Amino acid sequence: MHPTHRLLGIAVLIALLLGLNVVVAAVDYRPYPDGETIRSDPVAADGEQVFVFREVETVSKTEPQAVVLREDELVVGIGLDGIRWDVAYREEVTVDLSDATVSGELNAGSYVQVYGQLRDESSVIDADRVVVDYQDAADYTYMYGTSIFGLLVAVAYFFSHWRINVRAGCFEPRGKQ
Amino acid sequence: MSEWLTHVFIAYAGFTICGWGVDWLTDRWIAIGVIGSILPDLSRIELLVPREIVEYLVGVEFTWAGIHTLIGVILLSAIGALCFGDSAARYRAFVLLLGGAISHLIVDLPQRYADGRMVLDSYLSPVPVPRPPTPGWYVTPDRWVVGVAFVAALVVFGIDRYRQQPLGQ
Repeated sequence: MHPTHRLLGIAVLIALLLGLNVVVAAVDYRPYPDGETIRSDPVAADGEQVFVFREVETVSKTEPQAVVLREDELVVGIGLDGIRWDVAYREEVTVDLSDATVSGELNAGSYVQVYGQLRDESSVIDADRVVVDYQDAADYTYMYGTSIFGLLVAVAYFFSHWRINVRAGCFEPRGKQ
Repeated sequence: MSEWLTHVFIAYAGFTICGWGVDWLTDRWIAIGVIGSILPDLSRIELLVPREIVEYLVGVEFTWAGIHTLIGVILLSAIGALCFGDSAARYRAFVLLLGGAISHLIVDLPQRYADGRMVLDSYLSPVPVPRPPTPGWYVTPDRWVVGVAFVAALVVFGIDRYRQQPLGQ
């Protein structure tokens, strides 16, 4: 295959992949209301079932409660001085854990999934179930550490059998066929 | 997602077992399948290029989650396959990259979700499908997961070496 044809093929496929990401972003495939719907009419959203992934801001020491943020950040500029972000919306939401099954240990900074119903003008989630995905910083370190190690293992294994032929612009087997 | 070391071990074990029945599926080709097992998580490019930046630049709603879908990994496998020289190698590379990517998606399925259902719908997005219940076996940082995957890979590695050169020969 001619390198130009290969590059052209790859470019077309990358364009299709980016297009797919736009289509997927436009699809609302879960039955739960999104942040925008809740913000626009928080009273009407009371009683709605929600399933959200959030970082925990604080965990109450006295009540079975945790606080997460409902927020929206936007990029408002990209320049030589870097990327400028703006908080378009930020509101604290209390997660009421009094009737919830919580799997894992909740800390400030934990990353959790909350399944429950909205109440009090959508300022509270009455949680049915909470799954703690990442309890603390050590969980993140573990995930990134093992993932990067896994990537290195896969790449080293691959290049022990294949090498790059720069002139043809492709991989070719190492050693005899 | 599970962490990538688990995906690599499971893909190695799976393709090595397949190799016992398929003559051409040697270590050289298994290595391509193992690379495939990482493809769906290239959606983690989000950490380097957040979707908000793409949205600012192109002005439409965007997500990298399209990569972690069946159509996404078919396209990525085709891109990977084009990086190989002859047409037979391209065909094999496509099948192996896609097989590795699908093994990744399957390993990710039984994770714990607060609403008790699998995220099968996100795999087939934008095609709507129902979400079956999840057994909720693990969340990503559970340390035992990579242990199980490592033992599986080690056992398969041992059997594979034995098949190539039985003890005492």
